[in-house]
Amino acid sequence: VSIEADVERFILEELLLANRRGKIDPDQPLIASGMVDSLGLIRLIGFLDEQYGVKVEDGELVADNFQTIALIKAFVEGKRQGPRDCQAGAKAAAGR
Amino acid sequence: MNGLDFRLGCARDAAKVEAFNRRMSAAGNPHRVSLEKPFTTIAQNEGSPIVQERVFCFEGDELRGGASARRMTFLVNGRPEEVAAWMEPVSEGIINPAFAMVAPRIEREMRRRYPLIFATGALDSGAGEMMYRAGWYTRPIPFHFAVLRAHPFLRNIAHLRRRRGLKLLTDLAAASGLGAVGLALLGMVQRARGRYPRTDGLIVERVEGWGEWVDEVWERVRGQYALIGDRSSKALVSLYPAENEHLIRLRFSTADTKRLLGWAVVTASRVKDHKQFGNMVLGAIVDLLVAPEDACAVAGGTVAALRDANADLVVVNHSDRRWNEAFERVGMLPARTNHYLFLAPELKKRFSPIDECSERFFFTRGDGHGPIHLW
Repeated sequence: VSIEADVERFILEELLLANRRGKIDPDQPLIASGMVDSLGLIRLIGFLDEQYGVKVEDGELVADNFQTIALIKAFVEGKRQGPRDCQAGAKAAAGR
Repeated sequence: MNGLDFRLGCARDAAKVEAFNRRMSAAGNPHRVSLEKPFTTIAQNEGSPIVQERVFCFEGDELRGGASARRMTFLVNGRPEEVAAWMEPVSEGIINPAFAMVAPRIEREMRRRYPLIFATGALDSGAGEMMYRAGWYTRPIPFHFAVLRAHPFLRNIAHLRRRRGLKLLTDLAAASGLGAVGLALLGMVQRARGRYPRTDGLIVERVEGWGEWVDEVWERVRGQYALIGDRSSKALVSLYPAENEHLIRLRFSTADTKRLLGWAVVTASRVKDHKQFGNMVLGAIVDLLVAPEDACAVAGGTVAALRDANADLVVVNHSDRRWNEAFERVGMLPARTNHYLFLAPELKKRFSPIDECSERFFFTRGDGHGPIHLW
């Protein structure tokens, strides 16, 4: 299962609960739209840690890394590759 | 949203605070940021070992949220260390999703600034859920109560009066005297089980302030608790100041040998339209310190003192298992609690195994927010 699908499932099932089952476009804004609020973000950060062993550092806790599923995917991939690639991943996703 | 900066709030932030509160108010949200002293019951006298601070979160020039902290010495596994309690986290994210990052950043910032930090409060509050989700050690602080007068209790206790049917029943029980009979029967059952206050041989005195005798108690008993905030005379002068007319200070000693056991701080105030207790005389055990082996005698003496002070109901929250056993041995009943203790991961790491150690944590209504909503 891809990171995108994993994160989408988590948001739909855990944050939006079962009655909001559906699809989330990878570029759909999550935070600005109110789909993911503060508590949702904290849960999402916990999910990324549990699922991928990704620890979100203080400086990485910015909307640019979590605004869309595509950005989250890029962030996770960047973290897995190493700190330098993290930003590059996010920029690549932002330019999609 | 741009980058967030954190710094301690000060008088020059007044205009920003006002602007923030205006935005919250315009959105119909009751949460506010303030420049006032956050912990209202603490006297910030000269030489006080307690420091109160407000941490503000700015996005550029605009205030986006903040939180309050009080720093003081705790004994952490017997070692004195600075521990902070935090409260009142407020974020503009509540009214504007664009600032959803503010609350998680505040939580991170508070942990960065004060690695050994804790909070007390409701689990189902936004802050409680946030700490729980962020991996803070979370455990309930048990609640016990004793009904001393059935009629005012039944006429006022909100928990039993939420549903129309139950409200009618409690009114009927209060008016007919059945409530008083039931309370007397409960007292008989508890007595038969050996659960009643034993105050023989105990001297209970009201004291106006704190003296060196408090330090003697503190030195003697502090090592028996795994985590306990400073309760030296210097700390108590700030925590429970003489000028607070709601606080009743009790000193306990034995009648035969005059051995000093310890002290308690209680309140017995007629509350008015209280969310949970309506309009009764609410007796609250705010704080009390003796050695665990003397807990039973002192718990009994405290309930008896509150009966003398005309309390209709006595309530207490305490985190230490030995104290909770003592409250039950003097006839108090346990009830569901929504008052929780939250320890930040760094503070949690100091205890292993945490569940075992936390049975000897000493947290009362005096910790965290301090004694609020009791008068």
